[in-house]
Amino acid sequence: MPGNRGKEQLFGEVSATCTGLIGRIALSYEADPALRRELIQDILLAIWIALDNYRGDASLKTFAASIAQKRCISHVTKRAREPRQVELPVDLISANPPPDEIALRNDQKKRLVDSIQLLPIPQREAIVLAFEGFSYGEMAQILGISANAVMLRCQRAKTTLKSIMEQRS
Amino acid sequence: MNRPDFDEFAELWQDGPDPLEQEQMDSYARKARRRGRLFDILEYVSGIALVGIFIAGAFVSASPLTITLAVPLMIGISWLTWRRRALRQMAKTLNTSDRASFIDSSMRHARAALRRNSLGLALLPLLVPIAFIFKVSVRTGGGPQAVLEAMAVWLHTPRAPITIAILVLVGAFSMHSRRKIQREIEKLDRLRIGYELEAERERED
Repeated sequence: MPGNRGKEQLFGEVSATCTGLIGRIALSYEADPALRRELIQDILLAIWIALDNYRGDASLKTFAASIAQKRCISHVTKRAREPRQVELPVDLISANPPPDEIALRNDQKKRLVDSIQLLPIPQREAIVLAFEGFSYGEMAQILGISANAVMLRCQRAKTTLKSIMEQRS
Repeated sequence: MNRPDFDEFAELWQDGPDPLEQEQMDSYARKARRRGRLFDILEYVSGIALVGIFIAGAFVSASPLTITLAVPLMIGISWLTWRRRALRQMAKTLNTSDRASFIDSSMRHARAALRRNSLGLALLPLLVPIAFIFKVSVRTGGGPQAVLEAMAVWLHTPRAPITIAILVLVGAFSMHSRRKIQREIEKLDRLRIGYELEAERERED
């Protein structure tokens, strides 16, 4: 169990290295920007609290992703009503006025995010972790299943994702 | 074990965030740190306050002033204890790695909340009239006739519609919470089935 100073240091490390990951995991579960902001803050607070029990068995990134996924699942189950499809901002990647190429990329990303949000949760959490570059071993640790099962789930998720994207295009 | 090719999507997925978004994330992290520190401090403060109340209870005689001070303090401590318990429970739930335990634990919490809600809903229409009759009977000296008369008088005072409106609101809020918890349980159940189906497919593959 880390002391208070250790906890501060670990949280500093999480804020420096994992906020992008946390934001993207939240994006895969919550389309509404205002609710997503709350969700991100909840995840960060949950990480702060859970750091008391961090023993360094897994990397900090794995630890943060694991907590973020579970907080997102709780968020989805506690959500008062099913989300309306909120239009994601067109400048999802950059705040600057985008040239054609960036606009196309933004559109692709928007389609990807929309489609990920439609995946069943077990597949969604696996594919998001795969996109984040986690190894099968790390994913197995986060999801609590075998590495072999992770591999199969990721493949299935990718197939489902492709078919959703095709249907939506 | 080779990873299937996720690069085409992974690159797109990991685009950004832009500096503005990153700045926002940093501010969320700072806010979370402040809130976390505050909860840690409140935990100590509530412990000290609890001890203080016991000492005060033992040495100070009951007077309107001590009661006025003690009641909000007790409410505050109860709230803090409840928050702490909720946060600790949350942390405990987060430590489970497999999804079945995580969903089971979430389901247990939701069912406990539903039981508390049912109890509250069942007791509200029972306890409020009992408390009212008790109060009136103490004031009037007890007889059923006197209680009925006092109730008839009370019904014509401005306090009656306000009290009834508050009770109706409390009831409606409890019903709303109840529906919310029931929906949460249904969703958790569907999620559990979803995970079981995935596991089954993985076994088949």
